[in-house]
Amino acid sequence: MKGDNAQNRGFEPIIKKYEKEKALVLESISELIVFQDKKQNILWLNKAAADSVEKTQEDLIGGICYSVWHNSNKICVNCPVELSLKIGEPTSGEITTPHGRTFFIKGFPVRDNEGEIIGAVEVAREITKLKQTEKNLIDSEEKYRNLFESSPYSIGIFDLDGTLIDCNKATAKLLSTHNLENDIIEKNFREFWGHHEKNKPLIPLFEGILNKLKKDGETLEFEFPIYRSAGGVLWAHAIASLLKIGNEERIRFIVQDITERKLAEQELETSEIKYREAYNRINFYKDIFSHDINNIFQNIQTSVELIDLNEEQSIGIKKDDELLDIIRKQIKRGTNLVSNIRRLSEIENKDLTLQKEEIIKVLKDVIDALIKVFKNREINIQIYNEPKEVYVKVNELLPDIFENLLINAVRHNQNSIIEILIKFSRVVKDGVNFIKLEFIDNGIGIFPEMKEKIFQRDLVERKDKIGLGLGLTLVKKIVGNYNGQIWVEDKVAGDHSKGSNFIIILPEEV
Amino acid sequence: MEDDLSLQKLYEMMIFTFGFKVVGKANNGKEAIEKFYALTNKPDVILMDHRMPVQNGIDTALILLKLKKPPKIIFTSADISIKNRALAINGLTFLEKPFTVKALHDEIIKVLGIS
Repeated sequence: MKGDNAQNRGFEPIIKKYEKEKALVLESISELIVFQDKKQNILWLNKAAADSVEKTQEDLIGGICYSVWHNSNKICVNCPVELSLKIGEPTSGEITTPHGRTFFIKGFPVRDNEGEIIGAVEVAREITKLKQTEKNLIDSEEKYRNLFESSPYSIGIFDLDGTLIDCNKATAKLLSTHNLENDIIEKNFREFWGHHEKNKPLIPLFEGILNKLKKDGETLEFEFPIYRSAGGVLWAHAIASLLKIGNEERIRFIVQDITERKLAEQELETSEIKYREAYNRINFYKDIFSHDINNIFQNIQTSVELIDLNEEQSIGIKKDDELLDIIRKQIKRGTNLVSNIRRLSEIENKDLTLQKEEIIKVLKDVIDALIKVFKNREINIQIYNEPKEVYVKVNELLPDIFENLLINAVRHNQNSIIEILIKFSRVVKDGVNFIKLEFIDNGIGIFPEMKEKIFQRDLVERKDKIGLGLGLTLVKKIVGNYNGQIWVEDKVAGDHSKGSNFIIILPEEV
Repeated sequence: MEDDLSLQKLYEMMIFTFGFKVVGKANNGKEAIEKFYALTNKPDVILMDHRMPVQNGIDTALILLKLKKPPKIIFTSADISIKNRALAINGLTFLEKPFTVKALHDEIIKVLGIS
């Protein structure tokens, strides 16, 4: 034992040195370190702990933890030190003092040689400023999140590859989805534009935008349609720009629903087209009318003057009957011109109701009227393969088709005998039964380059090039309204001079 | 050159009463040029309409007026919009339809330089 004492005495300076070093280490730590007994009486504390309440270490030794820091006579609720004493395990937690100071506390149970808990070491760090900063951040995040979410514009943040990182609620409305998280967040635009066939062209558009942004970094604005799975189309105006979040580059899209504006623009455009067409049409009618009516007047005036001259001066023209006939025909031509313009105007301006009608009788009535009008010309009209009855869905304009074709066949014919053959047959086209009528004449024929132009719809184009008046424009329009077709071929293939074959097909009604 | 067949006939009658002879008739510009080249006895004056199928009067006149010995061309058109274009072409005169028999007579006399 003696030896032991001597040995102890020998270690004493060393132990003191270690204790001094340990104290220096503990004193130099910025964390609060407090050694407490099981009742949280303070046995020892470092300087940082004493400084935290602006007291000396000596002042606090013997005091009670919750009294010193919480000015309370009760153990703090959820005290990690108390818990570590109870469960015998290290614990941690946050405690806020009545003065609003927050500490992050770790409690470590301290045991004696027998393993009995004799107290606990509390290591605490004041995190009041950190907590405030955190709160400020949360408040700020909440404020901007609120702005973000309440924005009527869709806002989306993409990475540089086009994957959507975040977006607001307006985006759900824009993309017709109820579940942003599942449907579009963390999805690449190539994926969500790929769902709808009609939205697929947006993929190259967005790829182009992304590449341009990455290359130039300049804000881009563009408009695009979004086809919705439920049907319908939505028009969007987007502003895309580069954004730096931390060290990461992102792309921000702010998208506005401009469907209403776009529809209004489209309506305006349609309206403009409609009025432009109406303006062209009026000019066309005006032009055709003034041209044709002046030709008619020329015929009548010259005929009348020649009759007068013949009477007055006996100029040797013994063709008064022929001249009178010209006058009669020109009056009829003028009447037809006015009627055609009126008919065309009717077709352009209203939807005409179609009814099932028998057409043979209509055709024959027109032929009878034609023979009477052109009684001074020898006209031979034959009907080949005439059916008993043929029904088509037509309206009161049907006679205009026959009348215009037959008048043309007579007027553009220099032969002494005008031959017209009307052929009936039936054809099936695209599963539809059509009645086919061919009007084959021995007139002057139609030049190959004119075969399509005589029906040309483009009024401006027609104006300068064609002198055939309104008849065929009207016929084509009426036939089109009956869901039929009209075209012209040579009577003898490849030789237009032998005459024309005007072919009409109309859907047959059984 | 006129695609209105009754007017063709009336022009022929008028020209006959003036004491001239019609050497050829055409329904459009293309036909007129073909006939002009084919005729041994070339016309001194051509009455030319403008708005006709295949080739219009102005285009036809421009071809004929380039010839070494171009004919005199009187434009007879109901198309007033073409009047300025026609009159800008050297060698063309213009008669607006409807014109009188006397007006045509005077115009022919004028272009032929007959007093």
